[in-house]
Amino acid sequence: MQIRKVYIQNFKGIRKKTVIDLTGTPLTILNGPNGFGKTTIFDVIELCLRGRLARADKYEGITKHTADYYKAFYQNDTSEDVILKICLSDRHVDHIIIKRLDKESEGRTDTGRRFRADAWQLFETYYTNNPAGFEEGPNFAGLQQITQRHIDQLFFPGQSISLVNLFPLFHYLQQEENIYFLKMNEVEKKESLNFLFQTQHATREYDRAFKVANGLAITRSALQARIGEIGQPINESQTTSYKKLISWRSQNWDQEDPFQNAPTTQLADTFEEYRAHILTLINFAKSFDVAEYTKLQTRNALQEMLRHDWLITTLIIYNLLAPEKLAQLRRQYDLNRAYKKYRDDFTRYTIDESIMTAFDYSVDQLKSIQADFDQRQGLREQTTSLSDIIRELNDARDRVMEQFLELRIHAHIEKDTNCPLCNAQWENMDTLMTSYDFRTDQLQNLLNGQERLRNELENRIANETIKPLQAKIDAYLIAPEHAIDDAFYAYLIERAGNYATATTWLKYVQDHQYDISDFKISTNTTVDKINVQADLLRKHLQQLVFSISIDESKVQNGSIYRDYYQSTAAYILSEEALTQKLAYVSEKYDVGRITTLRNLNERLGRVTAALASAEMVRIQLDKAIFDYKKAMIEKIKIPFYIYSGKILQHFQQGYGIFVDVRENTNRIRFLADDTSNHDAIHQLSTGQLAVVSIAFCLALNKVYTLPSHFKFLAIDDPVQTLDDVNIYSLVDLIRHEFNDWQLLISTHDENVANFLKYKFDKFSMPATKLNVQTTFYESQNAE
Amino acid sequence: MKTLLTKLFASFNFSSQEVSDNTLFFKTNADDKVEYYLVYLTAKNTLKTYESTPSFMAAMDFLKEQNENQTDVAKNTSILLCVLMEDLGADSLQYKPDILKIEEEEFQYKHYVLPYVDQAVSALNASADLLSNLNVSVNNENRFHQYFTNPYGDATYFLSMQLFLKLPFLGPFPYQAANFIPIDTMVQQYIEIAQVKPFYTLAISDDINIIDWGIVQQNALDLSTDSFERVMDKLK
Repeated sequence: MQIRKVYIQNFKGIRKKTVIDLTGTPLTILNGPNGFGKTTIFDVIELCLRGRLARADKYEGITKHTADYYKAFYQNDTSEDVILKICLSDRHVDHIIIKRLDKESEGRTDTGRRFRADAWQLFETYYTNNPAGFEEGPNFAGLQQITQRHIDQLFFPGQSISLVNLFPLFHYLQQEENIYFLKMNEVEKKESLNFLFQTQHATREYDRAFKVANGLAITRSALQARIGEIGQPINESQTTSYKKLISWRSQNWDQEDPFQNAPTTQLADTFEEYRAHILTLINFAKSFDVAEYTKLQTRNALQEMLRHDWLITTLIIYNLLAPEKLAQLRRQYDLNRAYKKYRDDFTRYTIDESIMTAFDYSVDQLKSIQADFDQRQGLREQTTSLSDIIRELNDARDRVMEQFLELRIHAHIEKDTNCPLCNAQWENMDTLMTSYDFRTDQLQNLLNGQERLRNELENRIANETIKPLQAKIDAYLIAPEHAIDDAFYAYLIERAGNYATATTWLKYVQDHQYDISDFKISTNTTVDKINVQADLLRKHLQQLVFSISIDESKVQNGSIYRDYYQSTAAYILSEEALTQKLAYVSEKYDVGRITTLRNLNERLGRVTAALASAEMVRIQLDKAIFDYKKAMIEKIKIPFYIYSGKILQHFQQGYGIFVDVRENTNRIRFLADDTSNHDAIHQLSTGQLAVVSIAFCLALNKVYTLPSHFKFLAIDDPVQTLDDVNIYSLVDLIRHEFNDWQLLISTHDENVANFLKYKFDKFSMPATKLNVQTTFYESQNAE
Repeated sequence: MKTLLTKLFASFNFSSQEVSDNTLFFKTNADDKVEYYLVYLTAKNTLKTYESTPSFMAAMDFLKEQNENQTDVAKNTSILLCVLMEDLGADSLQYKPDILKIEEEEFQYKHYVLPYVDQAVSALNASADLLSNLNVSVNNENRFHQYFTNPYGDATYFLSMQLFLKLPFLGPFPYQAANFIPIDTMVQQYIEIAQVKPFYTLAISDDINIIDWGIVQQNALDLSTDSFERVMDKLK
């Protein structure tokens, strides 16, 4: 069977149809720079022959299967189908295998996510043995749709083997495998040697079986541990009857089925919690004394009072802070202030009828006083007006006379003695000026007379009205029933906000038969007096504190009484009732344990049975993989050694590479010689490691002659990591050992391509060099 | 050694020409192939200086002459240096750096170095059918195992293996084509023999693989939920 042609359309970087012809020579050398489609050709061959790419399988752990993708990773243009074809020739019969990803595909397989990287089932597979039209676009009419089984039967008729497994093992050496392998750390390298044997699928199955077995094993261990924790129940039946103990609150342990809401995982913890709780209540019932606790509360309260000065002083003036009393005090204080203000402002000659009436002035008296005030006001207004007129007249006359005199001097009219104001004729200027002064004095005398009258009136008002009234107000303000000290009043106002708190404390004190009334002040006083009283009250309270003795053993767990029993003595449960309850709960727990144990044991039985099967599957998979590797290694170890040695020649560690499989670990070892048990992969260079996979594949092909052997070998860039000397050896090996095979070798190195062509041409293996970059460039730019 | 190599090359259709006492030239008789070997026999103590010895220089002159007549000689000739050792193990180790240096020569001719002792050559020469004897010898598992343990312990096996390693045309011939059983087939056989096929099918399924066993473990202990039973039902 030979591969003749490959057809690519809309796959990876190749959008337009491209045909690769491999019919010319047994060896085709694909050359061109990296990234221009050499590996794409290998991918198409692999996809057509085995329906999937081994490379994509390897990245299973990397590619997200839980994510949706909008297209297949290999599809170039979503508006077109992906079409791949391969034309095979078996003697004179052609076989054309066509793979198609419908552009309309939803990308789902079963319930999986869209276009998962491993969803190879999305490809439809067709078959024809008519090569006509191979190089044309798709025409699926009349084509037979086939399965992988059909393809396998073309190669291995009547056999149950498949290219799915064989192609990567026997026919395809990928540079990516080597590079992927070489980039791993040492531990990963050892584990990933599966790729040499192509046991990835079986290993994945093993991993899954191991996961199941391991999951079941840890579940079994957990069940066994839980069953052990629960232990063997003491009581097998319920003999203690249920009696509800608590009415004032809801308690799980006091329910008829105390464990009804407890998860199985917390059954023991829940019981221990109940038990501890009930035992605490029993201990409480044994020791606690309510009377003693009350005394303790009282002492604590008194001590608390003593800690707060504001409380002590508030209690001292408590009576004065009563709302009515305080309001009354506030009114009196405000009245005092009003009187004091009127007294101080009385000189304004106004009458406040309410105040003056309060001080017993009659209506007639008020009228008489008002008449005096009015008269005084009239005089005041007259004198003020007269004073203003005189001042203005004097000012005007002075200004006229001043100008007149200046005029006389500057105008030389000294002889003119007429009055400049009324033009009356005077004898001379002196006479005129004397007359002026006389008139001025007359006016001033008139004003003085008016002012004297006003002063006399004001003196009379002061003596007869103002002073008596001020005396009355002063007498009022200093009267004990009216007098309020400003500091005292401010102190009261400041403490007024504490009245409610003080009331609570006072009630508490009174409830406990403590009398502090003697210390309280009920009349207006001073701050000093309050402080004196406060000191007395403190001393009194301290004496009370000292007088209270407590038996501490009877007041332990006061918080239980306060919080749990809500400070209600009647709620306290008796020791007997609680002991009975503990017995009831313990029996319930045991009955619950029996049920739980029965259920857990049932589950344990199921897990154990499943684990046995899982372990059996795991062991069989492990054994199959081991035996497979062992059998393969036993058969190929000598050819593998020879081939590796042929490529490597003499190297530091030996002549070739030995391979074996360890019995105990199922791990493949590569050894250079017996002098070191270190795996050769630790010692070999990158290029030498690449030789391992090449030699392995060649040895497999040499040893295993498959039915209808498909003599095709694709080697993707084998020289990428090899030295020139190794390349020469590899070429020599291939042309001698595989000279009747169809070979497809890629290289990024033009010189190596030329070398390969030369060496194979010289060995009756004519080679065709195909520049992939040029080929794809031309096809993609064709009309 | 010359006899042994002449016989061996002849088995692969090479004609031989004795260039000098210690130099042989082999040319394939196949019309469609181009392949030449210059075999130069030397001793261990000349490994550092053999290129400047008159006999080797004469051998190189011979190759030049050949290339003048047949221009592909220079590009298609490999040089096989057969190095006679006295103590195979000790000498091979001692001269290994020199051997590596010779084989790593990249610029003119592909060099192969083949260490040997006369005793091994005599043993192989004694066989009636050399090629068959070499195959039988190399494929002997016990001898291969001993060779792994001590490559130089069996000088004849060592030489046989060296011939396979150094001569490109001499490839391994397994006794018979092995019957390849794919891993999947082997797995199915083992599973069926153990009669665990149904559970195997379940255990490797996607449905079971997505189970979070940490949660299963928690659910197994929690009797208030039947989540555990639902998982176990899947494994029925």
